[in-house]
Amino acid sequence: MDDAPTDEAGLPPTSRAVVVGLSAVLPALLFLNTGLGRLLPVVAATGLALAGSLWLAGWERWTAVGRLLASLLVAPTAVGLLAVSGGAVAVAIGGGQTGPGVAAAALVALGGLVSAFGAATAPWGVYDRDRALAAVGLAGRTMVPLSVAAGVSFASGLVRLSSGGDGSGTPVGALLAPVVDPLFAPTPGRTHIAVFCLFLAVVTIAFERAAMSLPLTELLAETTDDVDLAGAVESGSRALGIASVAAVALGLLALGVETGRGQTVIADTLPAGLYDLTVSLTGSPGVRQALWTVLVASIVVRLAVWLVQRAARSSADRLATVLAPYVGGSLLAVGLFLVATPLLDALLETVQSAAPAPVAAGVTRFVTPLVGNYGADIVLLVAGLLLLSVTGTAIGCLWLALVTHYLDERNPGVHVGAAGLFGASVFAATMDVSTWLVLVGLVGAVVVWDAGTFGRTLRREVGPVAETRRTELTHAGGTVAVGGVGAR
Amino acid sequence: MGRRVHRWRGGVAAALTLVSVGFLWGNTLLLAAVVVPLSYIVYGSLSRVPPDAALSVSRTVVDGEPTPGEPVSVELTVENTGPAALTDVRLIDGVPEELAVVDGAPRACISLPAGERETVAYSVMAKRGSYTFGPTAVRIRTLSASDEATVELAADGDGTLTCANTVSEVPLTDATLPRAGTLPTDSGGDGIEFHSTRSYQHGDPVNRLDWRRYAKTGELTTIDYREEQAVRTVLIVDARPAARLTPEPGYPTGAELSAYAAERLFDALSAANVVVSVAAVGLSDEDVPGGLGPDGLAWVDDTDDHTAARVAQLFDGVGAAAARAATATPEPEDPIQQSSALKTDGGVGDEALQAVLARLPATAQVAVFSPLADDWATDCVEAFSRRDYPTTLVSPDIARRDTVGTSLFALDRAARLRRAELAGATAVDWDLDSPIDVALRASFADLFSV
Repeated sequence: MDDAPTDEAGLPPTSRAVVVGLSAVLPALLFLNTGLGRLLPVVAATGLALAGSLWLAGWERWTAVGRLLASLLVAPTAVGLLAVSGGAVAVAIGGGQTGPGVAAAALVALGGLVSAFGAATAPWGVYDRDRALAAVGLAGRTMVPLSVAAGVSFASGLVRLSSGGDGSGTPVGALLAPVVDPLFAPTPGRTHIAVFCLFLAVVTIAFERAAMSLPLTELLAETTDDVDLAGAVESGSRALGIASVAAVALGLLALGVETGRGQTVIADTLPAGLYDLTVSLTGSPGVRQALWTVLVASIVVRLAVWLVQRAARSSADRLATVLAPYVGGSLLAVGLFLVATPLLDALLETVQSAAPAPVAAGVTRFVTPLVGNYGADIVLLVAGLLLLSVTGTAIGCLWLALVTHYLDERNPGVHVGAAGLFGASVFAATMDVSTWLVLVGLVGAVVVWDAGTFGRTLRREVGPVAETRRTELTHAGGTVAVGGVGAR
Repeated sequence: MGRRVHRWRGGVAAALTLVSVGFLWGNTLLLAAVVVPLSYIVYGSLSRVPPDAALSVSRTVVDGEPTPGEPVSVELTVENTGPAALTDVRLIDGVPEELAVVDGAPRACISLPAGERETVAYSVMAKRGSYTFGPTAVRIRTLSASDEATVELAADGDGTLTCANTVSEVPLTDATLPRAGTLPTDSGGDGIEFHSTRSYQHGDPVNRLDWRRYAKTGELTTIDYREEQAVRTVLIVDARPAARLTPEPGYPTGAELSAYAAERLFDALSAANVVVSVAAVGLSDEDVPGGLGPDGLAWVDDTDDHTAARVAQLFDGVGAAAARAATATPEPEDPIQQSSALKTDGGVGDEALQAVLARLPATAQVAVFSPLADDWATDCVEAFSRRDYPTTLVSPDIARRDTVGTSLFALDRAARLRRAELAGATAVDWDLDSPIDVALRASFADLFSV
């Protein structure tokens, strides 16, 4: 028989109905009987969002749009994953469960989530190795703008972590004090020529690189009559280079003098006015902060120019495809910045009202000082990064399962859905669920797997056009009958 | 050929999971539930394809004499002749690779109780030639799908689809040619119709002497009759890559349809004892037995009793070239794209036109068959008309007009047909929904009434 593939990704309608129906109904019954009913909408939405991420990542016609939407879906998926597992734990704790009971509740919730994901992906063969890899890549790229935003925010607020700032008492401030204090909180009343000059040299080099990367000659030539503009720019660049070398040389010399000979020698050597000026200039936190700002801005400009140069060499389609996840990540970052404080307040309020008292108190104790010391925006950005990494990890696990052949690559959604339902049924059995429901769940998991794999071979061998309903129903009926006999 | 499919092995893992979790949580229900996966393992192990399973297959080709491009219905009937019911019978009919399935599917999955039969219907797109169906592949699975047997069954009934009727097999009465094979001239000589008289010259045939005049006047004069020169009809098929367009995958290409029309006309003319030459432009050496002529043309003259066979080989070569093109490069979604892409490749066409002109006898009548995907055929018609060759252009209309591209293609083609008419040729626009005979009947009387 010709085994040539014929639209083998999906399932015939009858098998599809069996897989989707059982994967949706049975976990719902298990959730309702284990007290996790409130999580049902979240579980369904998260399963669909996860499947949607894979589906969108594999769009071929509107690649850029698909990637943008997939990158935007990363965030709600992460929130859903956290809400499902956290919600199950909270419900279990609220119900007086401890240890194994909490674990069983969490596993039932995760099983239901996996089952929902399987039900969403199996009918159309959405879950495959290429899509999973693409989705992992998208999740990673979506995190880049948030990482950059977090990095810039952190760099901008680095001064606050020095001894002179209000964040000096934080763990991060204490950790960074040996590096941050010499830069931003120099000891008053003495010279800091070495550190200042070396810092100045670094800033000068960064500024020169950023300025030279800009198309100054091309842009200014249209607005000025100076014919020797290129020469002027070149001279400026050379002057900055010389200044940086001089700063390094002076810094190294000063390093030897300041550490070897001490302040007295410098005070005796320099005229009184010049010494005072040197002390005030090299020890001024304001000047250091200004230099730091120039350094951060120079780095940002250099990165932006590099991105623009890369973009100019690509076609519009290619550019849109590549940039889509970065745009999605940027939108998320901007959204977080804009609504940081109200969002954080709303989240805390939700936790206070919905979570059990011990959990709510723990969250408040943990979050409040963080927000106070580092700011709501950076806390949310880091939290967003952690959340996105949860989605990336989840999709990465799905990809890994295929790469390592732990899952059959021919429509793995069927296997995942059946395994999720099986796991949910097994752990629901430990939560005082009725016997018949557990057995129905177990048999249902087998039927989901059987109908899915049978439908896949059917689709592969006879194609999508042939009428196969009678055979599918006969086969599924046999499987249900055997399961029924076993369960009795 | 039987094969065991170990698809229930996962039951072991499920049973182990139940036992493990059951012990960890101290849950007796889970330990008891081990029976469920074990039941499936037993179910899969005991399931076997019945040893006395038997099937018979018969095939019916509903329309035995289709024209190219016409869907042909095929019915495949499967009967369970064994004593046991077969819950999962999958079959694939051996459709010839050259024929595209345009409706239904030659594949099916059915459940057959003992003694029952089921029919699978599908349609294939007819192409010129004769095609033999292969055996039907059948796979039987058990209810648990853990055991299967695969066989190939030769179907009873129709095993061939033939699409190569000749014109003589269908009515073409109106196309009876009034003076086929002859061309009256203005010069006197041998013939039937009186032309003139002249003084006797030594050597004139005795039967052409005007004896009555000799009896009256005593002068020997010779009667000249209107000379009738033998003419040759040359059929030129445009089989260049530009003509190998198809409106949809599996449908005959423009070149194949042109060859089909030419073949039918060739048969009609041959039956009427008209001397016919056939040429195909755009073939390569591998398409024609013996290769192309030194001028790059595939050309067959009516010289002996084997002419028909050599002409058939030439038309087969057109089909082979089209099939080779279909497998070598993907079909473009839009014919207009391929058409416009090939317009610039005029070198081959120009050489072919020069070669055809060099071969044409002075008294030839020409019929060009082309889908008019580019200007080549129109250029040919204009060149023939300028040289006073009576010319006819037959063009199969392969434009579907269902997209902007195909609509533009249709407009382009209509303009080319108009150009051919303005050049003095007879243009035959073959609507593929009607048989080519209709178009030929309506148009070819003019060609031979000159």
